[in-house]
Amino acid sequence: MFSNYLKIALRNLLKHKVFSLVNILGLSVGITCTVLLSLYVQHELSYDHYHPKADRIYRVAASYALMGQAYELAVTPAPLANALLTEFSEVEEVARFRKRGAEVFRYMNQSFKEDESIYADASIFNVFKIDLIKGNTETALQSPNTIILNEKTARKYFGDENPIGKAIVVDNGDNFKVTGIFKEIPNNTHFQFDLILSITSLDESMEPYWFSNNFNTYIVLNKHANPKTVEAKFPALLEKYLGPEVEQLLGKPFSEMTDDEGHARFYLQPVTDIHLTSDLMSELGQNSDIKYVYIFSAIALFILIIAGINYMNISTAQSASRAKEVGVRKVLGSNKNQLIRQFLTESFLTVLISIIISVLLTELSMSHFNDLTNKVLSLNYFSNYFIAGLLFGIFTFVGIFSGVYPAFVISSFNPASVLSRKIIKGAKSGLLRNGLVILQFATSIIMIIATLVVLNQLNFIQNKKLGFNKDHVIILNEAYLLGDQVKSMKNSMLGYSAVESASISGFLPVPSNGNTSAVFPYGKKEKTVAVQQWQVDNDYIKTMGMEIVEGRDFSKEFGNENENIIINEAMVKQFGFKNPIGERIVHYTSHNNDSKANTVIGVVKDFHFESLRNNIAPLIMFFENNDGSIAFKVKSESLTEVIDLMKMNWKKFAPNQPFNYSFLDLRFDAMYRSEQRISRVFAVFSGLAIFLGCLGLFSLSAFSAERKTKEIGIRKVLGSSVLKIVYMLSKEFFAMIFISFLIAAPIAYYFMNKWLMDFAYRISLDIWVFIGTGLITYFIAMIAVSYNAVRAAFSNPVDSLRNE
Amino acid sequence: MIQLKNITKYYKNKFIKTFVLRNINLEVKEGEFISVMGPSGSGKSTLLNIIGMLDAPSEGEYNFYDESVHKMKEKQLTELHKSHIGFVFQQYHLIDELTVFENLETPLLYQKVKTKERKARVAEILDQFNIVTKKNLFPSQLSGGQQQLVAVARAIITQPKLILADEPTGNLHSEQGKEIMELLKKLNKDGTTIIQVTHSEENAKYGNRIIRLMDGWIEE
Repeated sequence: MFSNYLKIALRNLLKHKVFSLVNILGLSVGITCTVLLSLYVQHELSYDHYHPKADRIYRVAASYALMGQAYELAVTPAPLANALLTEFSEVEEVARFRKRGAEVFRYMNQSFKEDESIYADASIFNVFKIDLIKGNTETALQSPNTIILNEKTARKYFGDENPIGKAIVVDNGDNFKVTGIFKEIPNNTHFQFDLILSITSLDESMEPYWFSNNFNTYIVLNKHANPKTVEAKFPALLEKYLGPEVEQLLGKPFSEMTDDEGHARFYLQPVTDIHLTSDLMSELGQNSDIKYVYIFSAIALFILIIAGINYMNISTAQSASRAKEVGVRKVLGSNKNQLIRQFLTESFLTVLISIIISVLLTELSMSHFNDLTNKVLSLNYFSNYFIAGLLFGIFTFVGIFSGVYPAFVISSFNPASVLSRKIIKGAKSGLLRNGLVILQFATSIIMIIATLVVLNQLNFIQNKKLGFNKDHVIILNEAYLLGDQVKSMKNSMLGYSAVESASISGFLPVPSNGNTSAVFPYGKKEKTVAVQQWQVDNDYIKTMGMEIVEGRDFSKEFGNENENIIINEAMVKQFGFKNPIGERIVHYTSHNNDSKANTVIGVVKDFHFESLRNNIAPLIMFFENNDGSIAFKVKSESLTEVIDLMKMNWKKFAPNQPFNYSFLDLRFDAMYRSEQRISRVFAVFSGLAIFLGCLGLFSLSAFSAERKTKEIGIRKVLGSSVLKIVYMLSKEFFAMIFISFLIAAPIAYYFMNKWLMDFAYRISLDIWVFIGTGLITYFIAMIAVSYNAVRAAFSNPVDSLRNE
Repeated sequence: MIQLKNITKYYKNKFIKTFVLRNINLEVKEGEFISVMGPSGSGKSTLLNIIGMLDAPSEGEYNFYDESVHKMKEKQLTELHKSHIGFVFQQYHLIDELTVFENLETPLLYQKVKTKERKARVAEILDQFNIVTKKNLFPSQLSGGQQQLVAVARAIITQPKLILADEPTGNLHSEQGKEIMELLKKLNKDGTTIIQVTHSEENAKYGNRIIRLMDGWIEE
């Protein structure tokens, strides 16, 4: 019996080639999208779950505010870890990381700049799963000036030599002894390190200051400890340790901090939540956002639904041509259940073929998908139970849902009437079918609108007046490697006509160095606020294309500028200066509470130095040396020339040091990488969604044309024009698209408005985006529908009438 | 074998009842060959469908071998008709996607006949009807007469007690039609009860009793 079902299922697929193709193609594409997106979601959700103690590891995060300026930090004070371990009975283990940015490492004559280096406590092995291939976890990071490397990095420096016991020079200074080799850290963790240095090498790791936050602090709680209880003890801890420092700083008790919109809080973040939910200052790496997990899951589901609906619709529409067979089979003694089984066999077969094709498609598209999402995903059907289960789920779910409805409709035909009637109408499911088409198109329209809005916002960011000029600025990174040759390098480069100006400073209006600490207007300690403090030279404003709106820039003409500062407009507003020039601002020069007052000589027009998601914060520029990098403003046509010149000079001034440069505009773009990624994902998948929707529409219109062949013939005999017939055949579909649009537009409006709220600077939702999307969809659908309508309308009426 | 008592069939359309059959009383004995005649729309096919249990009467009683068909559920009806009744249609109604062999096999599949016996019975009937060479062809590759031959073969493969034939020769030219009628006559001689619907007086003569329908009434 079953082989008979299978036989007829296969023959039916072959007989209706176009519709089978639409069904299988649609389902395959749908399943492929679902599998790929699920892989992405699976990977996102797997972050940091592999640590054996994952459910008990927490990071301590800090939230501070002073005078309404808030700071959400992933870092905490150095002494916190030890205090937690000794004073909190719930805390079983602690470990700290200290990230210092890129550093240069040298072994013999080879040196490399390493972005992924970190200082860490020896106890990290007790908190995280970091496997040592060589060395001993008990001792590896105990002593100052020790370092462990991962395999890949060890090979880079030492080749086949045994690295253990060898010395690596860090930043042309101290020697670090290699005490271990660790296995590559899996890519599903929120930190990625190639080199780990012992934290005891840093003096600051042992300093008792609670006001400075530089350490990512992780704790492991006891098996039975409740994180809420631990969090409840934080205020007392803060009062005990941070209190005295705050009192000294603000000149009033810690408990009164809240009076001026201030606070200091610690809280716990489960380690497994960090990747998807944490977006704080000083994260250990770029985190993702749970929002994208939701969006990707939704897209996967939508596309699967669209493909499933296609199958359902085509099958029920096709039922007319199956009616006779059903009638005959009933006459031959089949009961309803046997027929349902037969039709389910067909739908399961179709789904099975689609799954096989989609496995191939998945393999083929994996690398493109990885490019699109910036992941390194791969799929092993045998070890990835989730995906294997998903495919089985799709098989059953789509098989049943897309097969059951047509199966029930078709199998309940009355044999007497389908066999005697001459014209067989399709199953009466018009309303449901139309409803499903509307659902498909509403989904597609929402996705298209979302794509356009994201693209518009990105475009807006690209073209937003930022208050500085990001184009044609080349940054020479790690300028400190030049040592005392920094100025020579700058001057040498200024000698070329292609270089318009140059400035030495590690502070750039893109993610770079940051230095936030407390300042207050002279004599008004109660107005203390923590702000960005940048060290720049007298060419900085000019090189960055910033604008002085009041006062003057730093200049050599005025001799010693060390007592002077330039502030931005936000700073003026924060302190409420009426006449900022000549005002004095006090800052702290070191941990010892020494303070110094500087005079404002100029106000720089507000410029965006953080992402456009944030408002512009107050900022102070000091005239001080900082050789983090050198920025060159160059003539637009000379970019490559300047890079060659930079390289040549670098070799001269800093032989054997790694040469590294970047473009300011690209570093600016990098801030919006996740948005760019999401816009591309949207574009691809909304394209696929509308493609699938149109496939469905195409076949439905083909059925509609087929069913109305006789009507068309009669109308033509009676003198109707081709255009009128095309209109007659298409109008129903366009009404559906219009309704889809009416449903989709408000939903898209709501969600995109919400998304835009993430940006302090954003576009307003343009009605034309909506109208445009409606028109695009209408136009694409028209092509799909008209093809069949026009073909039907041009057919010879004699042919269509004769075969009745 | 068959006993119809006051069988009435009508279709309700909003407020209007359209009668197709009115007060039909009919008794068919085993071994009879009945021809039902009458103009288009007189209810011939409906009567045949009711007898074949493909359609239910609106009113009246239907007894088949002393079983009350009018009281049965769909499942029982299917069981009853698939083991006792074979159908032959004007449009042949073979399954287009199946070969001759598979078409013949299908009713046996629904009767859950074992593979071995099934193959044997299909082979036997192919032989009996002289269509062995056609067994792997699809219906579209056969002439009308050949298709109807296969349809008759399919109708009798389950060895039914009753064959219902709805204008079996309606789409055939006279030579082929004659062949089919001779075949039915032979089956009747071998003991199968046959009820046929026909327009042709000539074909009606193959039977041993004629029932004339007019506007849903029997006029005998």
